[in-house]
Amino acid sequence: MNAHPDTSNDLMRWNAFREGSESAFAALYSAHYRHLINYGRRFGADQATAEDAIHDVFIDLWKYRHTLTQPQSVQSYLLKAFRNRLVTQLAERQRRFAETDVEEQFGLLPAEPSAEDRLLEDGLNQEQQEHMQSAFTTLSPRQQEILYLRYFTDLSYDDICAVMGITYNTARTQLYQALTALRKRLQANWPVLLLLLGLFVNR
Amino acid sequence: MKPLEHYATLEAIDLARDPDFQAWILAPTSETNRFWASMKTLYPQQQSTVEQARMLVMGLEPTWQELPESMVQASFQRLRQKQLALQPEPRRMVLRAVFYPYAAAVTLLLLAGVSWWLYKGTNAPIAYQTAYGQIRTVTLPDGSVVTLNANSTLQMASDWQTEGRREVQLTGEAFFDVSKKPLGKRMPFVVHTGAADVVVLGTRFNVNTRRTRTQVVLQEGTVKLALQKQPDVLMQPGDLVETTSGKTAIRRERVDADRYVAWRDNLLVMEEERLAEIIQQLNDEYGLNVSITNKKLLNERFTGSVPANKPELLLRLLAEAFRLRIDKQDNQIVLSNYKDE
Repeated sequence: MNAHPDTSNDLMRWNAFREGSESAFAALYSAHYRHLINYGRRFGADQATAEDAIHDVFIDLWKYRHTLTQPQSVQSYLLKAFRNRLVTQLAERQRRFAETDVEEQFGLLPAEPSAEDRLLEDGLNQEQQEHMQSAFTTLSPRQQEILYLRYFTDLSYDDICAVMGITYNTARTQLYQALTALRKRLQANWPVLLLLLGLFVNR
Repeated sequence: MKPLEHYATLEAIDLARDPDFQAWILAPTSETNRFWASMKTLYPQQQSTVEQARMLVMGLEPTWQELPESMVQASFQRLRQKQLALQPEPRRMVLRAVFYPYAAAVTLLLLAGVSWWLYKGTNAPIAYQTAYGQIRTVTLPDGSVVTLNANSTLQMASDWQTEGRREVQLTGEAFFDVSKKPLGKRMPFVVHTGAADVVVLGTRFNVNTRRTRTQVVLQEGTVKLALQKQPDVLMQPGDLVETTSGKTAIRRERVDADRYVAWRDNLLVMEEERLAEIIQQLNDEYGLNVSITNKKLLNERFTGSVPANKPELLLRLLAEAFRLRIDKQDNQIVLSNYKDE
């Protein structure tokens, strides 16, 4: 299972860091680094690019710590700041090569084999896994991102909207449509999967 | 596990986020199989939700890239390096001309205060002292290191650096390791004793001023001895020069210098040492009051070494060697022959 960041201490650390505590600053970084890197990867950013954007965010945080206020959710604040930077950076880079406007992309890419191996051990074979993932790739980038944020973070729908810059209604509609599309696709194209899963789980 | 009611109305995505649900999907056990089976029986309307949530977990979970803690820490170190590189150079203080008169007034007041304090300071010499049986190492303002033997005092003026000469007054015994060129200048270093001035330019030597004599043993470098009624003596390493105030004669001999500075390593080393000297040393450095009834023994010689913090051991060794008995009366220690009684 993915490790949800320990957000219970976030506000305490945030306030200590605003007072100039370097250890609280380091703790914030460690608590959120994995989530930011993973989030960045979905935008097609490699590790170095994602890290550069994370560094930019944290350098500014430290520099302007005296003027910062206390956000509703530290995680949402960090994800939003990071997203803004990364998307701008990536868009600029793409514009330099192709002189057309590029749409934001978001894809739920598989991780390195290790995570897959874990599932394989549990009895699900590679083929089934690929089918499952291909179902997700038919969703729109926005739908995938909402799913990602809702699943991997502790953000409320309001926070998710703030990070992505969409309205609450859009978020709910997109999520509903995503779930429906997933179900339809899996039922239409591969009903055997659910059967297999059911057998496997109830063995 | 949460109670079953908790799952009665959950949406698929929220069920998928539930850690217990995730654990069941990724690694089912017979216990969790039973739990979720009973949930589906109790709330049949949730059956499709469970299947959807299962899809989400299986589809989303493998997209998570786990990173080891070492990578997180390494990344934070890279951030710190960037921060250091970005640190702005310290900004120059720019005083506006309007403030100059005030600044000048404040500076004058400060100068007056500091010079008064310095002047007051010159009258108070600095003194380092050791008690009986105590050895102390002192680093002087010029970096020279002085090891004070027991029951000794080293005094110096507090205006050393400004005056351009280094002078100390010694009573007792000390080993000097004088720094050659403090602040890149050659400055004479002078040890004043009752009978002589030891003038040095960076060297290692021992000065002993017990009783009325002054004994200097040079371990390294060169030393000039300025005596009261004698021409100056230039010493070489390994030289021992001893002078007694009021007398014109000086004693000069070649010795093993290390033996004379062994006390610094908390070791008393005696080599063919006259008993009279040893008893005097016990009295000088440990504040004992040792006497010997048979005065003929005073010229006998003794060889041996004992830890400097164990004078009683030295006494017992002496008693053994010369077949003496030790009598303690108050703070008097009397060494006498057995056959006297």
